[in-house]
Amino acid sequence: MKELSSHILDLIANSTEAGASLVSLSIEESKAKDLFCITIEDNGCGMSKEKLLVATDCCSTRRQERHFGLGLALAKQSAERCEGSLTIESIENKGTKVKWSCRYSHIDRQPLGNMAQVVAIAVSNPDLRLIYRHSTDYGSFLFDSLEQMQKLNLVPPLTSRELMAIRRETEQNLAQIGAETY
Amino acid sequence: MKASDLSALPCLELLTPQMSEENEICDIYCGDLLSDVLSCAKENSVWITVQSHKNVAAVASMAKIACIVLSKSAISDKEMLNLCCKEKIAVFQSSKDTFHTAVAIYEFLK
Repeated sequence: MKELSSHILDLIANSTEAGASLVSLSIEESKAKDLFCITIEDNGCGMSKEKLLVATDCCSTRRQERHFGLGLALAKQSAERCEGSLTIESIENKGTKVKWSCRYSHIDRQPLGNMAQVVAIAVSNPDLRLIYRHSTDYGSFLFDSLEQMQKLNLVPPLTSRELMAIRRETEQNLAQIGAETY
Repeated sequence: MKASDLSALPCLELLTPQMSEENEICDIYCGDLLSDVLSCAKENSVWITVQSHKNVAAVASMAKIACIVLSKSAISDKEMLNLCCKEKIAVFQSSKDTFHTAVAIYEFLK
């Protein structure tokens, strides 16, 4: 994928397909520590030990209509290309946690991409609560879709105008902490 | 022209056994970003890449690629070759870089 945000959207889609109603997304970008780390944790159906072993294999997929599953395979490849790693923890009927990390400064690391758009897309799903934490060397930002909607008296499903407002506010908050996004 | 005809090119070496079912080659695509190839490469294209990861085989199958050419003498991954054989996609290795490999194949197909 051209941007890490595309991988993030893919992994959030995996979570919702696994029946998750809550996704915790955490991004830590630190030039000081030379670290870029993305963690996505959900309360979906999780995976058995057997499925977990092959989860990042492109030949492994939950879907019936095709015999390849590229989401986790490509995300893992993108991390390893940057001397990083992708790890998965999962408990059946409890949830899954995917952690992607690599060196911030690695020349082959994709740019993060548009995280405000990712938030808007996730929040447009009325059955999903997104808790998104983003920290940089300059500060951190926390977004909780449930709290945000209560604060603004919004009721899902959100209109495109309401989603645009959330997107703009997220852009401003990310710019304030110097996040690598646009 | 079919994928097996490319064996006539001196810069190419066939790394997989001859495939029984082959379609006519209709295009050439150069790309190392798998998501880009998946969305942009035409069916029955020759795909030239430096990537030799197993994911390349999955993408080639999903994009209905005619055959893969690993440029710059990229070393093939065993898992990738095995999956290509299973998906009936021929894999060549080229001694030239991506651009010059594409030129050679383009001239040959004309």
